[in-house]
Amino acid sequence: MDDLEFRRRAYADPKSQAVDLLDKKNESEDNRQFVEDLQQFDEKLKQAMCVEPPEGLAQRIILNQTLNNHSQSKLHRRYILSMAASFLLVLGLFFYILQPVSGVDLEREVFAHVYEELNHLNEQQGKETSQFNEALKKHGGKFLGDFGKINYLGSCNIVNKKGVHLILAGTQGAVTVMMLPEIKVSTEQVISDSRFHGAIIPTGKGSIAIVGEKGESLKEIKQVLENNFDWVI
Amino acid sequence: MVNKQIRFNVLVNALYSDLYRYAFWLCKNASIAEDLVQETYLRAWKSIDKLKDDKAAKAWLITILRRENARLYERYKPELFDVDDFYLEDRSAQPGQMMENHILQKTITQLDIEFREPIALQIIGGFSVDEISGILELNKNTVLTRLYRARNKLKQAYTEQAGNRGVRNG
Repeated sequence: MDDLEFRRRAYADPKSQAVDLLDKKNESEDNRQFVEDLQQFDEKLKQAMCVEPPEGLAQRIILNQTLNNHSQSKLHRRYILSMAASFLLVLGLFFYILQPVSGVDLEREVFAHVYEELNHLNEQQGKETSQFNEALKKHGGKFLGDFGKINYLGSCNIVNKKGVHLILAGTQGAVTVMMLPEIKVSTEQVISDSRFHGAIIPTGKGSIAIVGEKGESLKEIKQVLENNFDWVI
Repeated sequence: MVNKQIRFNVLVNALYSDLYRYAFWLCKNASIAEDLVQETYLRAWKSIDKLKDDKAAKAWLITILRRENARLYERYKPELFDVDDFYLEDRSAQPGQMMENHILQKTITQLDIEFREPIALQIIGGFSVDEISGILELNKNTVLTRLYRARNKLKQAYTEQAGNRGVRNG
């Protein structure tokens, strides 16, 4: 074996026990040192390459295999089935809770609010439609019409949900408009009591309640709102 | 007849470290390495009856792992990993040794895969040249050449850098 071959083979496999290689190694102190250097270097390589595996890996491997295994079994199918049933139950509850506020309650609440704020019916704040739009912005609403002067503009609170409260001049007295972004109704609802009448109309994600004195035609204002307003967000 | 689960658990406990290390140097990423090892063992479970001799288990598992790596390769694109970001924490090593390890690890990362695999099989797996030949499906001379070139590169880089940093040898 020549020196070149010796070097190459020692480099390729320092721990080789091939007879011809060992013989060549033992020919000289230099050769022995050469191989020993390479073996020492291999120890360093081993240190560097033998990185620590993540903690708990063995347990995770076995767990993973066990779980994967059970996916074929009846036990797993039963488990899946009961999970699905629970999920459907939760889903059902969720939609039940999301039901629109009951019609009777909402009528009562709207009237209650009108009566609470009767004094506002006589106000003459002279606010602008632009100010109304500012108030609407917070709730993600946009109104493209023009009410002229607004007698009262404020916020309201119906069944613990916030909205914008508006009072306009009508022909038979004041007309109350409540913009209710968080109250969803499925259909238009006509409301009335001994003094007032009106409607709660669905508008996208929320609704609008309009209340006027009996005898007040609310058709026009209803149309203006329906055509020019939306909850955009 | 040894219970299948017991046999499998033994294979996990005995070989998971080396498999992980090999996977690590194959893909150069700790979490992908773990995924590879998980997949390897899942497949091993499915075909464990094909393993006739437990002494051949390590080579068998490495072969499965290499196949898994080939499957995932396109998805994780190892060439995108920045070598300069590569740093492994070794909790057990002394400070001087950490420096040595770091130099070597960085150099190993920079080796092309055709050199990195044989050296990893030899150093981590402890396989003989013949066994490496079988696993990589290369002829013996090719394996010898690649091992020679890998070790040569590593030793050269180490000697240069360790010399520059004044790391003591031996």
